[in-house]
Amino acid sequence: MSERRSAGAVILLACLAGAAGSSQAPVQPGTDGDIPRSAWPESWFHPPQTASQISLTVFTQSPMLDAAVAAGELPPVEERLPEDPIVIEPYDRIGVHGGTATLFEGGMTLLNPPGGGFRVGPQLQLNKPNYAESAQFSDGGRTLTIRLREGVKWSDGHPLTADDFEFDLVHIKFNNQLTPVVPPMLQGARIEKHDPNRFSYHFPEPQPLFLKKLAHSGYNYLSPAHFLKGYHPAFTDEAELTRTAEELGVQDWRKLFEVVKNTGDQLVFHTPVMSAFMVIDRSSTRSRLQRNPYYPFVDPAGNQLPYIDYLETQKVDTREIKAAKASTGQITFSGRQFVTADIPLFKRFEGRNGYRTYIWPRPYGADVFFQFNQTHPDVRMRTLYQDVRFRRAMSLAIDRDEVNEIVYQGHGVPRQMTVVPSSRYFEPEFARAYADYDTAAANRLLDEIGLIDVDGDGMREGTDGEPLSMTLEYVLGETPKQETVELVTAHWREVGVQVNRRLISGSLQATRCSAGLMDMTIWHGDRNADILFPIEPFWYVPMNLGQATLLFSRWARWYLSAGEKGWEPPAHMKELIAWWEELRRTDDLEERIAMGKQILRSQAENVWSIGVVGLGPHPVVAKNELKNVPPMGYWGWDSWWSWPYYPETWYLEPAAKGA
Amino acid sequence: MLNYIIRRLMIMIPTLAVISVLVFVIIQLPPGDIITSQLILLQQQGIDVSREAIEAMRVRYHLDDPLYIQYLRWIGGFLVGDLGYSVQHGQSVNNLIWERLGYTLLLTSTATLFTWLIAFPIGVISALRQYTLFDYVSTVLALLGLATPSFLLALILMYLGYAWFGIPIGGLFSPEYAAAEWSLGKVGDLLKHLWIPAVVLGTAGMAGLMRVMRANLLDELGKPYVQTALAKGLHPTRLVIKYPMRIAVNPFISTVGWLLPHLVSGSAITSIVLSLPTTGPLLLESLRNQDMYLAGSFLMMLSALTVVGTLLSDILLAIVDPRIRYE
Repeated sequence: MSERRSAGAVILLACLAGAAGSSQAPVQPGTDGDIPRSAWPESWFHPPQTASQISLTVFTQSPMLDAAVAAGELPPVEERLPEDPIVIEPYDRIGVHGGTATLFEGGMTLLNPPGGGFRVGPQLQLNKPNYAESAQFSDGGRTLTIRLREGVKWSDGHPLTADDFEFDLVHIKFNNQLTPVVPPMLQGARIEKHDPNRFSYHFPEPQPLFLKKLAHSGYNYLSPAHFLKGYHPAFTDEAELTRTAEELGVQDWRKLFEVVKNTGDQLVFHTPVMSAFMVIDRSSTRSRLQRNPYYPFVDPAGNQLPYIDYLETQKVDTREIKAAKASTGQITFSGRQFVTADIPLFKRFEGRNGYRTYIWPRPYGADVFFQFNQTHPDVRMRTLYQDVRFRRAMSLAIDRDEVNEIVYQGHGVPRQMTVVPSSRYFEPEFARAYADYDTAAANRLLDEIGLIDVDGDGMREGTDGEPLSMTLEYVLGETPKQETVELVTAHWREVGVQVNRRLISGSLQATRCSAGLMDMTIWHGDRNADILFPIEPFWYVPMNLGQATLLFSRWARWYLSAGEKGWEPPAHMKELIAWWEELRRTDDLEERIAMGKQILRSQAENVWSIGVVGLGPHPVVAKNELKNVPPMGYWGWDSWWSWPYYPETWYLEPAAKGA
Repeated sequence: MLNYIIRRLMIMIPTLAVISVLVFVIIQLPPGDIITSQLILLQQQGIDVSREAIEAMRVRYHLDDPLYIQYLRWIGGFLVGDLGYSVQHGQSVNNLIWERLGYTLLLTSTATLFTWLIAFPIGVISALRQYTLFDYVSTVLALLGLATPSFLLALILMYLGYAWFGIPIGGLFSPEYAAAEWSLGKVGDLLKHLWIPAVVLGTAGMAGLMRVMRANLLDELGKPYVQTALAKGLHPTRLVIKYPMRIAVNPFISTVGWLLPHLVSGSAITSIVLSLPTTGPLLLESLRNQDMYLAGSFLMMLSALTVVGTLLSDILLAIVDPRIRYE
């Protein structure tokens, strides 16, 4: 019920907003949705320089820290920074320290990404050293040696060392009470410490893609060992921890440990962080963060980053109110949970309410893509869905230009489901495969299969002459799913294929999808950029089971259970798996790209997943006083939203400085 | 009277026991459970989840115990004031609920007061001045209020509040006061934000109250005892207040008990739209995520309040109206 009501609210706000304004971004993406390299400073495509490389010797801290340093509570900035601080070039100009930025609770990471030792590049291809200095594979990808920069520190001043990686691996990832399942890449891994700043991961089999994991979610592989030992039963008496947990009203020591580790949680223990800000105060509706005085980055003028002193977050439950707050200029930077349809609203009020609206493409191969259940329990449906002619016909019957005009005001990219154009695995023909609107060809293919309209009602019957009824079960969220589904099912009706729509709950989706009980479903095509595609080619290879991957579920179960459960996949599926196994094990980049392209070529020929419109426009709202925000970027999970674009270099212009 | 109250209290025990079983069973009915939502989270992080992991989590949250054991564990804690743990929030339910309950009570009691202050007088005047312009206009307005979805009204008021008075959208406090200690300024800021949800929540109930008041009073006004009193020279105002109105308020009193559960859950949708820190959104969220203990404890609390409220109504009614007293 609330979904329906929310829909009403959107319409109201959209009516209040009226017509769209015009976009004025200086650099425009190409027709294939690719953002040119010139959209960002050239230095962002290279490993960051250090102070000694540009002869920088004088460092400045934010004035808010002056008092603490003068009182001796904090060491001077030179001692807090690493031996050779890391220099980041801001998008536009050198900023000034100070100010408070306001964010939504869910959008806290936009200005305070959790970070990691490595960082994703602006086009989501590169993998650059961040506060790590270098990474080197050896032994055919079985050993990864990481060197940390000298003198990088946690937010409490304790040095970051190999111990922090080892503690995370041994006492968190390998503790089955804290981590019920060891992440697949870490299974059987161990860490060898060479010295405090140099260590090696040893894997039982080659794991060259682990470095991508470190770039995408590197925060997930290190923990402040010196601090967390005080909450871990391997180092502290378990009875005492249980007592503390009881006093604080949390379930047990495991939960206590999780709460302490995750400083974003409601109890504040001042857990050290490596990110630009740390939580200093928090209630159920808001939280306040303060700059991390030990953040190891500086700008080319020697100013310690971040520029901004404080972040304030507000908890807002509904998407519509978020849009309303952002469009009245109450939020410094926002974009999470906004949708394409919000763009006119933001454009309409941007002049009056002191903010600008950037349109960043979502790095999704398709905003919405369709999957048929090729391992359907009913042999009649299964035979049909496994028939490549059927999937091609369904793809050809979609009028992608119409969807693009109606849902995206023409700003999306009509294309087949495949990786984004900036990817090294991309070929233009992958995006064009069976993506033209050709009802004649679609009808011909359907006739060929033997789906004929026997009773003359305009709808085709199955090959056995019985009515053909399919149900699309789906959940909403993230991308314009409802609008797309309505248009596409209408296109399919025109070629005589009746598809019923059923909106279901999230948990029903999770259960029915991973059990392979649906006819068909949709999802948003994330994991289509270079960071995640090689690790998780969910939509092209039978290697995942979950709420989003219906298409190969019983084959995937066979693969994941090492042949014990599910159905044995046919030869061409085993071939896909073999290619992926090769891709994820080889440390030869050429070979890896060749394998990735084989997988994607198979998708282009067989259209396992049917895409509609990709690289959809996403509204990103920044107050006018927030400077250095690049007008172009990729907006999505693959890039951790703002993370590749150095949000620590964004600053608030002093005239508008907050409290 | 005392006997009656004791008897009623005794009946409440089996009633609540039956309700608790129903609540528990109904929450378990839909497919999946809280673990499903947690697994979805893991899968989004790209972690493949094996059967062993699912088992481990189920054991951790005692989801593999037989249903009646789970039920007994929950209800046992409930009796001693321990409402259990919310798996989703990782906190005890007590912590979560009490934090929000204060604002919820403040908000709903303000809204109720607002409703009564407006609906009572208008209802009375409409009855006394039946079929006049005032009667028609107030009736139309009240029915409009009833017919407008509260979330829509909330959005419109919020927009107008922002456009005309510059009140920041959503929440109960302006950003500068949200973190501050309690002060006169903070109370003022709260009042500045409180009127929108109070009006929104109040408007919905206003029409009902008003029409009931009007109809009841009209019934009474035509009765012979009113004629008699008038004939004897009693002042009309004094007469109306002293006799017909006392009888006309009976339906209010018999439903006053329903206000209790309403205080906790009545404002869910409005609170979600307005981003208010009340219990309604928490209840909705817990039901959607099948967060067993949080949802169950909420529903039990609502049921208990309904049962207690009904009793309170009956007692009040007995006090106000001697005609229906026992014995």
